[in-house]
Amino acid sequence: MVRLIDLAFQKLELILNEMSEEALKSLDMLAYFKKHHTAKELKEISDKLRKLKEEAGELILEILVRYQPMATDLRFAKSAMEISYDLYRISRYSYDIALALDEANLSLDECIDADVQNNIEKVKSMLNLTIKAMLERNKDLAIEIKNMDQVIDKAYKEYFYKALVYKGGKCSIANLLIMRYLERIADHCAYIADEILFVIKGSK
Amino acid sequence: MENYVFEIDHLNVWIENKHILKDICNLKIPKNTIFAIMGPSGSGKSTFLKLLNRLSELKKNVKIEGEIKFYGQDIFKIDPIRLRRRVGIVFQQPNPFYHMSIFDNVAYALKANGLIKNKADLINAVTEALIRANLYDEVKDRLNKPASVLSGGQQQRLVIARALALKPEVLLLDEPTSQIDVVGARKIEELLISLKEQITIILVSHNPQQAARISDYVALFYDGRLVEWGQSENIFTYPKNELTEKYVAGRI
Amino acid sequence: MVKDKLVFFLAFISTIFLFFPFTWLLSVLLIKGAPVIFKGGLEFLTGIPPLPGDGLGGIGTVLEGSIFMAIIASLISIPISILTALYIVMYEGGLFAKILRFLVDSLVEFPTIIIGISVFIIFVQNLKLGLNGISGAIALSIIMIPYTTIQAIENLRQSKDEYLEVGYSLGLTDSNVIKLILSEGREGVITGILIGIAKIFGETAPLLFTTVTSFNIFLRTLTSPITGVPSLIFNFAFSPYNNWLDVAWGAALILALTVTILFTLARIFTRRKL
Repeated sequence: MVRLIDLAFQKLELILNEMSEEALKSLDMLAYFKKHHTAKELKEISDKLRKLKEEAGELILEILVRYQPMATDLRFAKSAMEISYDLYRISRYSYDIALALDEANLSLDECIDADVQNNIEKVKSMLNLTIKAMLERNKDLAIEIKNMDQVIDKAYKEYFYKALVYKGGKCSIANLLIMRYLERIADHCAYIADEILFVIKGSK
Repeated sequence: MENYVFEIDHLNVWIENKHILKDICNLKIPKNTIFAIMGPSGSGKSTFLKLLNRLSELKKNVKIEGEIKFYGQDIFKIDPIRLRRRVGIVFQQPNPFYHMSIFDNVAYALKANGLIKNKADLINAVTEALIRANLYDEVKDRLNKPASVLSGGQQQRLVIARALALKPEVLLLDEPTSQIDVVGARKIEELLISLKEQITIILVSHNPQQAARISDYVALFYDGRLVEWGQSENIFTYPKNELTEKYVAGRI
Repeated sequence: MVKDKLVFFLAFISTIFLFFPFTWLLSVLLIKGAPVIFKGGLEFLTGIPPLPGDGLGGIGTVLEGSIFMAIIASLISIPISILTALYIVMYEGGLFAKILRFLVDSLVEFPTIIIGISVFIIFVQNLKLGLNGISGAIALSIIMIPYTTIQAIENLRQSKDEYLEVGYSLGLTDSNVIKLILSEGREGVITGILIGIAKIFGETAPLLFTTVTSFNIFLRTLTSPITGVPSLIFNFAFSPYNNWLDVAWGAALILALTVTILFTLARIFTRRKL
């Protein structure tokens, strides 16, 4: 028999799925539409995710009030709240990247170097994996994501120290910013992985 | 040892050759806490509760094996009458003495047991028990009215006052709010929280939400077995056992 | 719709059928008996039954006899019934309790005339108790005991279910728990006693074998040869004397009223039970 709370959770999962797709799209836009960076479109996505995050929050409150969930249910409700925020932040950082390039009046393919290009791809696959882990509640994937985050962190740090000595003008600043934002996106993926582990095991 | 009121180990109970409680091991009930026992009907939780003040022995063909210690002492070596004065119990259905006044309901056990003979002391003891049961203000003007004038929730608090009059160290409650309306149930829950400073409360409840609201520790009984026990916040958020998970999430 | 009407019609008919004998009985009793009582006044309740062809007199002697026998029978029955019921309830499931319960159940449907004969043989003849109020009361108590016992069993069982655990949980001793169960079940037990008294008040057959057929003696000692109202009715109703027939009708109404009052009291006690 379907529990009433499961019906509500189905609704919540629909919202989270939509948010995942949109977050993924925002990263895609950075990767594929390098030429004309699309700050405006990315802002729309980010705004949409913010609204969806509010919607998810309200639904979760309603679930708490109505069904007083316990155990896995309780943990999932709590995690869904966090995950919706993380997804929103990911889209927001994508927008920030576009915004930074815009402000500097640069396009991505003008200055992008191999390291950054590489990192964009890595973060994209990381987000893909994150969404997969979330849908499947996959413990192993979640642990893998956390490992990937450490790689990205390390890459950012190395890039940062390289940038300190290398005087490359506008482009190098843009690249560093992008690296910085990518590092933040990876962090949020890792947070989501933490939440997935919390739902599965009850501990992080 | 001082910190545990009851310690239960290797406990097996058969009633009329039916194995009701199956090898309850290493269950310890900490002092001055609310210890909730959850489980579906027929899981043996009520039998377990009545074992703690040896009421289950009133039934015929009861066979008990294993160990129950009350403050380190084997309960089967304690005089049951003395044990029951130290370990009170309240049942599901409010069962005051309908023929007696509110006052006499509380005074009854003190008088019948010959514990208090002086009238003034009796009045003090009854008043104190009614205050502790959070009922005094509602009944102080009608102590001589029969218990039947009270609402279900008030009757249940009267029954709690009746048990408290004996100044027990432990109060056992068998689904005390399942027959009571929401407001009455809330008052009883608040009362239990206020009582735990002085006594240890062991509560059987088949409402996980209630157990989560008021208990410090919780145990799950299923099919006569102790599935899991521990601190409530852990059990309700991160149960270790799959059965506990299913039970509290309402998947059983 | 048609079915509803049919059901209503059948219910109406059966009510009439039930109601008819009752009202008919009552009206005959009132029509025949009430004038007698009004005519006799208080003396009808206190006086001595008349000689044939004499005045109206009263039924004082037999009324006193009936009350006396009811009291003695109650004194015998009440403790025995309560103790038996208590034993059956407290040891429910035990062999002796089962035997007792069987005996009580059998006795309740036992023909009262046989009880009368048995008491006559054992008490009146063998034990030389004589035909008097005590012998009558013994026969009546044997009729009363199963009634009051069965009623007491039902009520004490309910009280036991409710208060046995409560009593023990309050640290009471065995005897105090029993007191508690008796005290909380007392209304039902009293109901049973009232029904028992009502039942024996109208019993005729046992009195025919255990008491005398002279009706003009008041109680002087416990063994005075007396009898009760039913045996007066039984004898006077078949007599050819008009004044005796009148007395019989008056006595019958008094008897009916007494029994009705006792039943009403019993109902009130039952209703008071929560």
